[in-house]
This record gives sequence, structure tokens and C-alpha cells, in this order.
Amino acid sequence: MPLHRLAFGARQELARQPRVAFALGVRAVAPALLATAIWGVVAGVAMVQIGLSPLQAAAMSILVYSGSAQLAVLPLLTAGAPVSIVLLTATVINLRLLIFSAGLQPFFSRLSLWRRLLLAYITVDIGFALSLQRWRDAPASERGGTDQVWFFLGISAACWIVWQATSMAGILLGARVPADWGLEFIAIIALLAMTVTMVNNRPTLVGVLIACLVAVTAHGLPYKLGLLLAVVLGMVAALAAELFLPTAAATTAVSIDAPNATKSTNPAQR
Amino acid sequence: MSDLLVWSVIVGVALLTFATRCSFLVFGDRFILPERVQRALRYAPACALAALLAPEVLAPTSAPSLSAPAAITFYSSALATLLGHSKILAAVATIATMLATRNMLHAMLSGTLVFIGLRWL
Repeated sequence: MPLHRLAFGARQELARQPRVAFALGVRAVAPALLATAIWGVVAGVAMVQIGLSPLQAAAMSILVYSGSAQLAVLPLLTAGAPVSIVLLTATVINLRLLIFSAGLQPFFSRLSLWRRLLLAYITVDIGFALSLQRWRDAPASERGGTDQVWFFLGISAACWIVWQATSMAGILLGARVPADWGLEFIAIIALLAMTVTMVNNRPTLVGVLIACLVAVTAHGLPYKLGLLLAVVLGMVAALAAELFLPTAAATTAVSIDAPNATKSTNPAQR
Repeated sequence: MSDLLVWSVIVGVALLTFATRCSFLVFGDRFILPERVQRALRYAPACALAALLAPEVLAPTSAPSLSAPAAITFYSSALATLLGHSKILAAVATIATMLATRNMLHAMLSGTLVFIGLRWL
């Protein structure tokens, strides 16, 4: 059924068909795919430039499938941080996935374990954001419909394919560029831009500033412990700021820390 | 950076990331995440990224020792590099563009151009 027919009658019924719901998901995520593509190339180039073999970089891209965690791990690897610190840092950066998982749970709770595991693996910021944006107000009885699962699958499949294809392109590109160009710094720039999108209220700003200050001051601590200290003190500062800046709490609850999500939900950006 | 280290990091990060993604989708019926905890968790990624990035931008060389004078030296040397260091200027360009345009691509492009441009000068 061609998508343009959706404009004429029977729209609700049609949208419940898996194929149509899948296509609607692909369509919904399409504007954000350019950002995903560039982010993928950057991650691919950065992984190889930092010294990973193309095989290791490809494995990381497929197994981890989380741009921010992948890129964050790289400077720690070159700095010789212990594995435990590297894993802990990646986990903290991935804590937002915990929120995504909790948010999506009502929609997928009726599916079999294997399907839930598959959906968990392909969960990315934009899939969570677009799905919840669409069904936030749906009554509990209507949650978990087949169309909702297929809509999510459409978004996620498009993201996965674009991410993996562009990562592989980046890996091939990175292997051809001499390491002394310093291209791995592009990963830092990408993470920096992403961090700015996350700072969308004052408590977060306070937390981020404190985290920066502590991280730089305690940079000499062994085993990169300064990093952990900075994260903990930054979070404490943000929570404290939340108490003293009560107006900011309301915006925190609806914010989504995703570059793609903010991009797609804010038309002024495009 | 040995192969064993890299592979253990890849597998470890992959397992932890997958476990985080699975968490509530698999065990969601058995426990719930309080709203307050959810809000607290939202601060963690931004703080972690900031803590990771600040030293990368300011201190590209090896870390100084921890004594108080060293920390002061560290700040003054960071200030000194501000004038001639492409990483700091690239970071400033990235943040400024991001704040001005709210566009990730523009921000990454400006940061990259400043970084590469200063290196070629």
C-alpha cells in the first residue's frame, strides 16, 4: 500500500498494518539520518586513528552500537586507563539507556524475551524519543500494539543500517589517513557538541561546570580516578542546584539527551 | 595498547551497554524506577562527558602530579596554551557554534575546520 494513500480515509486502520507502521517509522527518522551518518563516519575514523585495527573497530561498532560510549572509550584507551575505569565510564555515559529502557518497557512488555532482547539491542536515542513522542498520551490499554512495535522497528532498523554502513566507511577512510593528522580529535569535537545539547537546563549546567573543574584539577590522580570523582561531584552539584533552582525541575522531566532527538523535534535546526 | 586490552574493552563495553539497554525491557515487571532517580540519572551522562572532555581539551600531554603547586602550574600552563593551542580554540568554536545554531553538524564542522586550520598554519 503506497504511503500517499494514507492521506485519504481509513488512515487509522492502515497505520496498524506492520508494513505500513514500519514505513512510517523509517519516514519519521529520515530527517535525522544525515546526522547519524556523519556521526557514524566520525566514529569509524576515530576508532581506527586511535590505533584500533579495522577488525576491532568493526566489532566495536556492531557489538557496542553506541556512538557516545565508543568515542568516550578511545581517549581513555590511549591514556592507558585501567579496564575497570574504562568500563565504568562507558556505563555512566550509557545510563541514559536505562531511562530509555524504562520508558519503552510498557510498549514491549507483552513480547517474548527474545524479541525484547532484539529490541533492546537496537534501542537508540532517536527511537526512544520518536516512539514516546507518538504514544506518550496513549492509554495503558492501547500500549504494546503491533503497529507500535513495527514503528519502533522501522526507526531502529534505518538507524542501525545507516550507522553500520557509515561506520564501515569511516573505518576504511581512517585506515587511509595518516595518524599524525590528529583526526581522532574529531571524536572529541563530536562528543563536545553532543554534550552542549545535553545541557538544556540550569542544574545540568552547574553539574557540567563542576565536573569540568574537578576533572581538570584532579587530572593527576592515578587510574583516572579524577574522572569518577568529577562525575560524582558533578551529579551531586546538579542535584543540589535542582533544589535551589526549583523552576528548572519541570524542564528536566521532559528533556531527552539526544543530539538526534533534539534535532528532529526542533524544526528550527534544519 | 595491547590487543588483549582492546578486545576486553570492546567485549566489556558491549556487554555492559547491552545489559543497560535490556534492564527494564527484561526485568521491568519486577521493579520500577522512581521519577526522582530518573531525574538524577539524567545528569550522569552530561557530567561524565564533561569530565572526560575537559582534560582532553586542556591537557593533551601527560598528567602532572597531584600536589597543590602542580595544580596551579597546570592551570597557568593551560592558560598559556590558550593562545596557541588548536584544541582549545576548536573546542570554543564548537561550543559557540552549537549555542548559536543548535545544529550538531554546523558545530562539528566549525570545530573541525578551526582544528585543522590551526594545525596547517
